[in-house]
Amino acid sequence: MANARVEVLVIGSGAGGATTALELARRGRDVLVVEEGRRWPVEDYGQSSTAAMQRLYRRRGMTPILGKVPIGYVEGCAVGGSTEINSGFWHRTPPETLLRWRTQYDLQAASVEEMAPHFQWAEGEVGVSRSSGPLPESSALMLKGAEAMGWAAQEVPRAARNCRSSNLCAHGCPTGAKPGMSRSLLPRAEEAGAPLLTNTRVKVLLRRGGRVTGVLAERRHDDDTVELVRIDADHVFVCAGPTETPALLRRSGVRRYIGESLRIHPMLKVAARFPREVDAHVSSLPLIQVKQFAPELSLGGGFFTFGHLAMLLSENTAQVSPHMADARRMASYYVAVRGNGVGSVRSSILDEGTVIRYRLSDEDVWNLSRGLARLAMLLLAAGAEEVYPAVHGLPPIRTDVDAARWLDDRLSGSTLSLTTVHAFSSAPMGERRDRCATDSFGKVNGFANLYLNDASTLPDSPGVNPQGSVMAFARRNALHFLENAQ
Amino acid sequence: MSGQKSKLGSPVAIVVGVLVSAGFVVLAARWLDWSGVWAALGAARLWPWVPLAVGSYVVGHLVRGVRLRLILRGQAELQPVTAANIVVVGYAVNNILPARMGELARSAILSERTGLPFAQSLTTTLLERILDGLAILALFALTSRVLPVTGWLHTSVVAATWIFSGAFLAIIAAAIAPHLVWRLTSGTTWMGPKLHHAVLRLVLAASNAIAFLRRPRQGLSVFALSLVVWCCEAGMFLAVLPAFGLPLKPAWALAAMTITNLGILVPSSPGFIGPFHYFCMSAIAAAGVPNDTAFSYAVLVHAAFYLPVTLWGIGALARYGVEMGTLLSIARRAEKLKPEETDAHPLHSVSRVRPAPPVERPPSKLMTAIVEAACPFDSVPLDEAARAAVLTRVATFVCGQIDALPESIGVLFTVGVTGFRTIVGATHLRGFCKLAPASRRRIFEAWAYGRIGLTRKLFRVVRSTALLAFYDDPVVTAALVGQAPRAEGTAELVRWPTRASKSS
Repeated sequence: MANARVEVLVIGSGAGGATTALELARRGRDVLVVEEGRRWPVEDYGQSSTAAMQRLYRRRGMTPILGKVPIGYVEGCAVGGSTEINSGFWHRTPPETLLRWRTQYDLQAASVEEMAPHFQWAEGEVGVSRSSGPLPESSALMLKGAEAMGWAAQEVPRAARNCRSSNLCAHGCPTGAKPGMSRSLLPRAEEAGAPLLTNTRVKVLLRRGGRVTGVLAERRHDDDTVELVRIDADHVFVCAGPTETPALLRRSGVRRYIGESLRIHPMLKVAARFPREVDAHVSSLPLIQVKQFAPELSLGGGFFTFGHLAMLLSENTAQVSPHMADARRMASYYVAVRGNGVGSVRSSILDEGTVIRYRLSDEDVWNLSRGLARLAMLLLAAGAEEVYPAVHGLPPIRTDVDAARWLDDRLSGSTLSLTTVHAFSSAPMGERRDRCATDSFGKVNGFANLYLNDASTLPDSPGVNPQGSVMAFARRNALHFLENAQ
Repeated sequence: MSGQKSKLGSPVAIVVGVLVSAGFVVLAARWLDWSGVWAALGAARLWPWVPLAVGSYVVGHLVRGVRLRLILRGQAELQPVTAANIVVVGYAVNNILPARMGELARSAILSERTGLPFAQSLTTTLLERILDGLAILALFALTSRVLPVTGWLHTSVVAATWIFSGAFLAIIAAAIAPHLVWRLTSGTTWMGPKLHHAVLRLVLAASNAIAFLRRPRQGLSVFALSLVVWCCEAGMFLAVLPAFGLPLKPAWALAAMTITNLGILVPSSPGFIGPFHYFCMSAIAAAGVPNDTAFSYAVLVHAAFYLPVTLWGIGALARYGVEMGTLLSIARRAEKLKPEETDAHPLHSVSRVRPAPPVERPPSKLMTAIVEAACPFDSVPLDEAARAAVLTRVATFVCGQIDALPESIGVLFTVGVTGFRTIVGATHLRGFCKLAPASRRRIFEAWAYGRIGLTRKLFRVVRSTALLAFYDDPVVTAALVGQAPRAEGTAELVRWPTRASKSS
């Protein structure tokens, strides 16, 4: 055991890490996956929102993005990463985005045709499909509004083949219908010979010259002891996600174009009250997205519980309780923009946490204003009586004219209450050495055996839910590694 | 440790220490008229001043215990009395054995009591001493205006300031950039795995010991406690002044305390006999007190410093000696641990510690009152018991979420809530918790939803998390939809009707 080392060490078990581990293990590589979070049995999923935040979310869901306009950000911290708590919405990277990445970042071998087999593979692994049942009421209303406005809308495919509408995606799917990585790729990777070491947080990468020799990690045992362990490896894949990957690299002294160019999808939520009961709290997620204005602007439906509704309303009014009496007639929706601002990720010097900053651009605020106008018009067209935006001091929108005002007026940035669940591009890949942290296949510039393979390497905002892009690029990069690694 | 013990406790060190002590006694005696000293001691009024002095010194040690407990928070759980006993054992051993052996003894007993690695305990002890040095220098800066310091004393103080500040800055740098230190250390693989791991273990232990400095609240609290400790010790010096008819001047006491404690850093005999008396006498004499009286004062302060703590320390040692014997006999009967399943992974263990389990902080009265004001309890039909249970659950959740915030934001939040409490107290002439529920609700709304962006931001985290936990509480949800509450973990699955069945 004294000289034992692993051939490939994969740090992180989310969409990127699980894909990497599975593909490498299936092709006979000696792989070890380390994951900071715990492995939860399916019986422990689907708890209340408060319990889920404590168990499955990083910092119990309290990770703010700092800036002039602070933005709430959440990501998973458990076996499977954020795939355990996302909605499972599936998009291929839009062709326009792939072209832009080629132009701006000189990203090689990433055309629509070249990416297609990787998307097909990923879609097969997680069972991407469209809903077979009728649309839930909140989705049907959105579709009705989009049709009334004459806008292109679609039911989004999901990695949730047998969804039973438990409305608990964000709490960990209790039926296993939405296969997060812990229920899909990771068990297959373990079967193929890639063991998973949980409760193990990598603290620093060990370097010698242009090579990484291993990592130092803290391992929490069941008896509450914490052990510092060294893991030696020939190759290291960092797949810890868009914020933790750059934080780990930076505290290990790898800083060139790392953590400098974070992109997000800023999201503004609204609640809409309808004349009849929608019962969104026991419905599946709204499945309709309006793509008429994509990729700059997307409209869709949000995860809904009474607690989340109250939070949303409190951004707009102090008098939450009178509205909560109508909670069963309400549903929540969002406008998400592609995000033209730029952020940064740093490792905190105070508490070993991660400090995330983002500067919301003027264009972002304009897009959010116009997005609010369009979303409110759509909801009113669908029959909503009132629309409550998460904007401080803005009265409820009751008429088309109130809504259309924001097509040309700009909301004040300081009044916005924004959130996001999508972050990327904190270590972009591509051949442009003046802006990319890695080559086109995730190999970190200046290192012979260090790779990144998660959302941090997506060169820019994809403008769509990123799980599909992360998995497809991760597979592409893993196969390239197999062909080229010595 | 045995190696260190034999080296430090060598006859050479003892002889050097005794010679240094004798040298200081001779230095002090040059200026003394011994008959005057005896006369001053004979005329001293011991009651109530000496008991007061001892009391102040003993309180200082209890505060040292609280400080040690705070330094180790998150690493080990210590009762305040046990922590004070550990500190006192160190002082008692310093009073009995030469060459500051007490510091090693204190580290050893801390390690034994907590299970922390010895290197970590030693680093903690060293850090405490550095904090003591800084606190003494800070207090000295206060007194130097009253009693100007010149000559060799000035040079010594400047040197001490450089040494303590340099050491503290180095520790701060290591605390805020532990990964840099680890990375540098882990680059020593050329030493071979055995030595490499030993060095890493040492560095990790030291790093854990100073980890609390990364948390500003904890770091500031520890430094504030250090000032309290030395104010208590100054209280001992102050209380003895009137015993000799000297004026009760805090500046004199502070000057005597700081100069004496800087002076006894010189290696000397057990109990600092000689240097203690010389420096204490010099400080008081500098204020214009006759040498004989000043020396008598030093003798009495030294007695108050030496006897009670030595007795307390011996008592603690005796008690822990018995307990250690019991532990050893249990350990002899214990079985070896079975190899772990995870040994199948290619891991190289560097060190293993057992940190204290995280403490779920019960919500304070103020936070509970704020949460109650944030939640519209009156809008949901709940009986008293259910209401109290929901409030406890929500307040506990909110406090947990606030504790999970990044440290920098947590500090700002604490500052903000302190400001809130102060402003409410000043404007309403009573604390927030003592106001009527309606007033509390009104004040909360003014801060959380008002025109001032800063107060809105301050209370956004409370407002959001409180409303989330309140409305997602099973009891409240059930009251809203008019159903029985759903048990935790039993997700209710809804089968939606088909469009056809709906229309029919």
